Formats: sequence, structure tokens, C-alpha cells
Amino acid sequence: MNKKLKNLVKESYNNGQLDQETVVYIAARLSRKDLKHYISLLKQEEAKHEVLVTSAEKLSSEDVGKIQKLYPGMNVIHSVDKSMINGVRIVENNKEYEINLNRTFHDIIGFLSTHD
Amino acid sequence: MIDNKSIIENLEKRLSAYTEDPKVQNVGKVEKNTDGVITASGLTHAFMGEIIDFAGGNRGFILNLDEDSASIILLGGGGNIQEGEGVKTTGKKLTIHASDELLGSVVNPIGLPLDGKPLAKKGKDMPLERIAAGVVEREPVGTPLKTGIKSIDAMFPIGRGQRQLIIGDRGLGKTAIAVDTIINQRDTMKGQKPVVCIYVAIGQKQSTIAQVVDKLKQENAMANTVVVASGASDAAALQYLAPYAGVAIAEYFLEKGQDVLIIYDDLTKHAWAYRQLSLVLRRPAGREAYPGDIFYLHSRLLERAVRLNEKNGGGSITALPIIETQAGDISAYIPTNVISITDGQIFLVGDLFNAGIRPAINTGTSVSRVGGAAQTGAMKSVAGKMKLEMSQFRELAAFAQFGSELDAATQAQLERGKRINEILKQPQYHPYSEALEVLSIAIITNGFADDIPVEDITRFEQEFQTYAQKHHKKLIDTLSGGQKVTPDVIKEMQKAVEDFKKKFKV
Repeated sequence: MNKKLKNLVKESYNNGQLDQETVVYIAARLSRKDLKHYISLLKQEEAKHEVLVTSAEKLSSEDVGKIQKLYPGMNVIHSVDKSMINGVRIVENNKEYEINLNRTFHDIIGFLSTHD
Repeated sequence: MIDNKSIIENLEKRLSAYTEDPKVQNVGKVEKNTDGVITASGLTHAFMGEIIDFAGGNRGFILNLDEDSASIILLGGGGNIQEGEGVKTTGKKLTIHASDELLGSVVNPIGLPLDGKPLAKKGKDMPLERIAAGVVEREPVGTPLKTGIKSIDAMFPIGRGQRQLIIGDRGLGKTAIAVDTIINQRDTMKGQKPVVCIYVAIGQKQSTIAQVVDKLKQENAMANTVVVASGASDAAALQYLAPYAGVAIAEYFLEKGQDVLIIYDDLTKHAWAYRQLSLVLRRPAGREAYPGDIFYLHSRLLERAVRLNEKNGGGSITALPIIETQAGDISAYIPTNVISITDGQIFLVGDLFNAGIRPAINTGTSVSRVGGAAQTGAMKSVAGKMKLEMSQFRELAAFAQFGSELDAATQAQLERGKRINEILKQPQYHPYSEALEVLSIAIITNGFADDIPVEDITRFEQEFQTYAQKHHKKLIDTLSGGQKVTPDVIKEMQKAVEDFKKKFKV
């Protein structure tokens, strides 16, 4: 059933966009359990078209433009996390690229506590 | 006075080895949290056994990899994990931080101290799962590991690098044998390396673990012992990992060329914990609901007990796994598995225990496949005939129950067997040195105590040992050397016994 639902998710898209009519048609014909799984797979598929960018400070429009160039055709969603102190975290299709000062400090403390 | 400049210089010096790598991690989210198993999606680049970090600070490791999800077993806690919570891979497998500072400590299977001591700083991260040393790196077992228990050292000797199973029903003294063996390692044998001891408690009551630790401290044996504890109330994952954590610490000392003794108490509970994990992971259940790889669970653990050749450091790991049987059934699934893996077994029986013969070792079914290669010349020369005499005594004892008249030779054999039975009794927490073991066994096998009533043998032995240590130190030193007992030494022993008998009151 999992493979069939994955195929249905593929069929729900038209030119890279989710087709509402197709989604409603499919959803009406699924059981409650399969519908929940179908929605979960749709969310996963949507996440593949999104890039989450987190930084310590609000990014300038220039920086946003640079990131957009790295991920053409993707939806870049930006958020702020002051606890990072400095640095950036990019999450793209289940991969996370991160370099931030807060974690570096923690790593250094961990390193010093185990090495003399 | 320390100034700012020297503080900064010191910090820079310590950080010279530090390297920063920009992290690339696989992220996913929690789909389900059931029975301590977390199902997470999105971890497309995760590998089996990888450590996973949860956004809320919990930790787990992957035990199942499916097409769209991974099943993560939590390392304790996790009641606050919610659906949708983020998870990240770490790129690391499970390790435990091993160090010389662990000696004298009690830790849990992930290396956290349980006795209030600080985390060990120096040392090395040792992987919990590791492929055992190959054939070429090994050497035959030839150096004795003395338990200090006469019946074991005489008839079922254990060598360094051997796996000797201790098997029996509950309450028959399995842990007692293990603890006595650890206590005996506090004194290094002449000409041998000191032995580091590791006691792994799996699924035991916390009170029992505390008693063992307390006893080791009282007997001054804790200084060269590490206790890895995973109690009955700990998560099944921790109980499953405990023996692997223990052997990982053992391998740290092995790599330094040291000899290590590791006790797994007990592997029955280890099998139960693994069965629980496998059932919640929905793995197919086999015989007695154990998973199909239950044999591999123990075989890969026990194969890591090894005697390495000089080229690879010359160290050894001796394993004493413990298995608890039900109603003396050694033909059950787990006992037969472990018996087929180990290099011998010490089988404890309830009938002997109830008859007052303690340690209650069944000399008929117990065996050491290493045998004489793990005995000193002294012990071999006095105990060589003992197993045969015990076997003959058992046959004759059954025959004598019929009450028929026996000839003098048979009577003598029976009397000798009774005396051997008596001399092999030993109180708990009283391991004997090599010299005293050889002395006790020699006076019986050479017939020097044939005129002492059976009921006085134990007292005779104790008082004679005290007498010999005071008045015949040269004899004791000779026996401590481990060399084969010559006729001259036997004569000296006989003279000592004759002198003592003048003072001994029956």
C-alpha cells in the first residue's frame, strides 16, 4: 500500500505544483488510516521543495538573494534563532548544514574537559 | 600568582589539537513513540547502530532501518518525546569512554558514573561493537588465572584468555564464585601480570549490585575492579548494551598489554532484555520468542575474550559468563547456546548445595577444555589424580548404599573420596593462595590425613595451614613458586604434617 500511496503523491502534482482537484479526488477515496499516511507523504514531498535557513540575526536582502541562487526553484524560509550567537543553519531535504558559535563553544568545552 | 597571559597561553596550548568541522547532519522527525521505540522518518543517510540526538536532549541508537523510517531505541528516559520532534544523526556509533581512572568506579553502560565520582578525563573512546581478534593475532591459552577456589583450580583450571561458563539454578553460589575470583586477583601471582577485573551486572537488583561492590571494597579488591551496572529497573536497551560496554573497557586495558578478567552476571537476563527489544521492534520471534540472532548476540560477545600473542601486545581477556538455569535444566535454549560457545563450564547443583558441599560444583558435568595447560606444575602434580579418584568415589558411593560388605581397598577408596569432598569445601570470600591450595590437596591425595576423622578434616586443614605459614615458611615459598612438587618437597610436607598431628586434637 505504501508504494501505491507514493505513486498517488506523484500523481497529485502538476508542473511541480500541487493540484487541488486531484488531491480532493484522491482524498475522498482513501480510508482514514491511508489518508493520514497520504497527507504525511504530501508534507514530505513539499519539504523537498523547501529550504529552511536559520541565522542568529535577520539576513540582509543581499544574503537572502545569494542563498536563493544556491537553491533555484526552491522555497527559502528564513527564521531567527538568537541562541546561535553567530552562524547559519540550512536544512534542505533532510540534510542540515550548520556552523554556529554556540555549538563551537560547547564543542570546545567538551574537548577541554576530556583532554589535558 | 597566575596571570592572564599564562592562562591564555595554557588555553591555546590545549586547543592546538582541536579541529572544527562544519557539521553536515541528516535530520528527520519523530513519527511514533511506542514502548521505548521511536519511529523517525527522514533519516535517509543513517546507518545501523548510529547514535541519534533528539531536539529535547534525549539520545538513542538505530536498531532497525526500514524503507521510509528508522526505529530508534532510547538510552533511558524519553517520556517527553512528542510526535514531530526533530531528530539528527551524529555520524557516530556507540562508544564508552575507557580510562585507568575507571578502576574502582561503578559506571552505567554509556559511561556515566553511578558512584558520584567525576567523569574520567583521560583515556580513549572504545566502540561497544567490534570484530573480535583474528586467528593470527591469538596465542593458545597457557597462563593460569587462579580463582582461589580449590575445586576449580585443581579440577577445572581456568587460563587467561579462556571463556568458562558458570551455570546453575538461582541461589547456588554462581556470583559467589565470580566475586571470590575477583578478590583473589588483588594479590598478583608470582611471575604473572596483575589482572584488571570488570564485573558487569545485567538486570540485577540494585541491592545485590550494592552488596557486591561493598564486599569488594571490604576485601580491598575494588582498587583494580570496574563495575558496569545496569539494574533491573534500567531500560532494556541499557541492559542489552551492558556486556558490550564491559568488554569495550576490557579491550582498552588489553590494548595496553594487560590481563583482564570480565564477569557477565548474568547472560540469561541479557537474553531476556534482547528478546524484549526485538519484540517491540517487531522482529520475527523464534524458539521461546527469542529472535533468530540470539546465538550471535552471545557468540560475538564471548569471542572478544582472547589471548593475544606478544606481537599484538600479549594481553588477555578471560570471560566468566554466568547463566541461570531453571530446575537444573542445562538443555534449555540459552544454556545450550552458551555452553557450545564457551571453553568449559562449572555446573552448580542444588543437591550438593543442600548437602553442605559448597561450592556446589558437580564434578561429573563440569569441565575445562583448556585443562592442564592452565595449571602450574605444582598443582598438576598434586591434583592430577583427583578428578579420577572423585569419579571412582561417586560410583562406589552409590554401590555402598546397598550395605554389602566391602573389601579393604574399596573401603580405603571410599574414605579417600570422603576426605577429598571435605577438603574441597571452602567458605565464601576466602580464596586461597597457590601454596595453600597445593598444600591442602597434597596432604589428602598423598594420604597424610587418612587417619583424621572426616568430620575433623576442615578444622585440620585450617589449623595446619596456620601452623605451616608460621613454622614452615620455606615450604610455603617453595609451593608458591609453582614448580612441580618433587619427592623431597613431599617428604618435607609429610614431616610437617606429622609434627602438626602431635599438637592437633581430634
